[in-house]
Amino acid sequence: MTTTTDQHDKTGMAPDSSITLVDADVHCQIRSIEDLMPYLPNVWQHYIHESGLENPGKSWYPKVKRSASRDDAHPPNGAPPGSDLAFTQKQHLDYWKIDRAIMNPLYGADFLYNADLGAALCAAYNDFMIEHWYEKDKRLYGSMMIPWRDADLAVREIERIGSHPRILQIILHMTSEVLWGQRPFHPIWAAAEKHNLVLGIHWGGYAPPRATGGAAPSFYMEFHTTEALAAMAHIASLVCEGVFQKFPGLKVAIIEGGMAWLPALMWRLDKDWRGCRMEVPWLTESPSKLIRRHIRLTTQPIEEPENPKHLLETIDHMGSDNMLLFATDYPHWDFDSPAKALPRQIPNTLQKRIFADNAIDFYGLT
Amino acid sequence: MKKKKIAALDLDQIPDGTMQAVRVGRRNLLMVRQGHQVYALRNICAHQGARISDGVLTCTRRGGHVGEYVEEKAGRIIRCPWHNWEYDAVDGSALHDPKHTRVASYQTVVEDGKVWVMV
Repeated sequence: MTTTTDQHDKTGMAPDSSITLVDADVHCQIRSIEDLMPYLPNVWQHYIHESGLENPGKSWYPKVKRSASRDDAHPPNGAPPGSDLAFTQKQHLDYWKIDRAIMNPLYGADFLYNADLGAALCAAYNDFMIEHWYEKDKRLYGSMMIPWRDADLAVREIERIGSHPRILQIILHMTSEVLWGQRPFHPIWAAAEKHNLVLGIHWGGYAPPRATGGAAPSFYMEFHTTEALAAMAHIASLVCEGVFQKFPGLKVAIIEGGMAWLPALMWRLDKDWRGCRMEVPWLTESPSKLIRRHIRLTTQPIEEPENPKHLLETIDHMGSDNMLLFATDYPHWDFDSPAKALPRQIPNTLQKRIFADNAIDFYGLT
Repeated sequence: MKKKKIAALDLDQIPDGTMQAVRVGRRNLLMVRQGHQVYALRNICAHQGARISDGVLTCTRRGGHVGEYVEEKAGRIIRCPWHNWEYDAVDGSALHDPKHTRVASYQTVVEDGKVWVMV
């Protein structure tokens, strides 16, 4: 039960076989917007101070924990969780012996309706993360933010730093007001493909929550669970809009959206494709084949059925051992432990793929 | 097993560009006419068993660039009345999976104003 995976190696170096644990979703953030000032043009520094802007984006739900983070992930110096590299190294990377980590900064700059301000903040955030995180620890690879509301500005940012050897992903969100397969974004995806950047569609976002059929759920718990619906909608959009026909080298990581629903989504898309092909004639092969070739899902927060064997059966239904990337979501409260998250019933060969090999192949890690 | 040649219907009973359900022996068949050529298919969808003769005879759209719609195979594509599966009248193949999914097709000949089916 395997399928071929394209190699994607930004550095041209051979994959390192000593890599045994890759965490495909770790979060980093700035301490405050003041961290960005050295990276912003004067005009935006003045604008931000005049307006009193603190951090763009807001949380629509009180989280069940402060900063949605583990209680023990708040650094002793009082900085926000995930903003202190040394603390993250000690508590997470060293402790779990993580060989490589994909860092996903979550920040609302890309959602700002003022695309010029958003572009300036995205660029500043990217530069800060490259200097203070991604270039400071060889285990770290980074995701970049883009001002996606303006395709020209987004492409400009990709052209500016998309070839940086530590940048391998564009971070996007599931709660986004838009569907990522739609055509206004295609110039951006062309630039992403050119620079071998994965599209990382992460749980949450800074748009009004609309994961559940148009209405906003009342509770964080509902929203947290039903983001899987948004993930499904983005996958359907990317497939039906022909993104993978247009950009055959493009890859997508679905991050923190769950994974047990994937077989059902593939079955439903394939079924509808058989009867609706004439509406999207550019889909010359079944959606499930496209999904297996272009899309991967991170494991966290992993589903926990009463009988762990059911999880193994679900993975089998995906039709490929290559689909899953292990992730912890550190420092957030719904963290998955590398020692406990995967059921023991999963065979060693499959565990090895999930813990490391799939991410090495997909991201071209060295 | 040697096939029998059985008269299915008179050619003028099936106007050009149309399809018609007929019973030939114990078989329910769908006849599709394109000019002087008549195709015969088993009249049962390979999916959930609908009579494909209750669907429409039409064309399909060819896969091309994203956003491009090009019609082809006009008058020889049968769309199932239930779930819209498309079959090519020429060989009974389902357009979504022509190598593995099809309805049976039968050889035909037109002689003396009649359509004969080899079953």
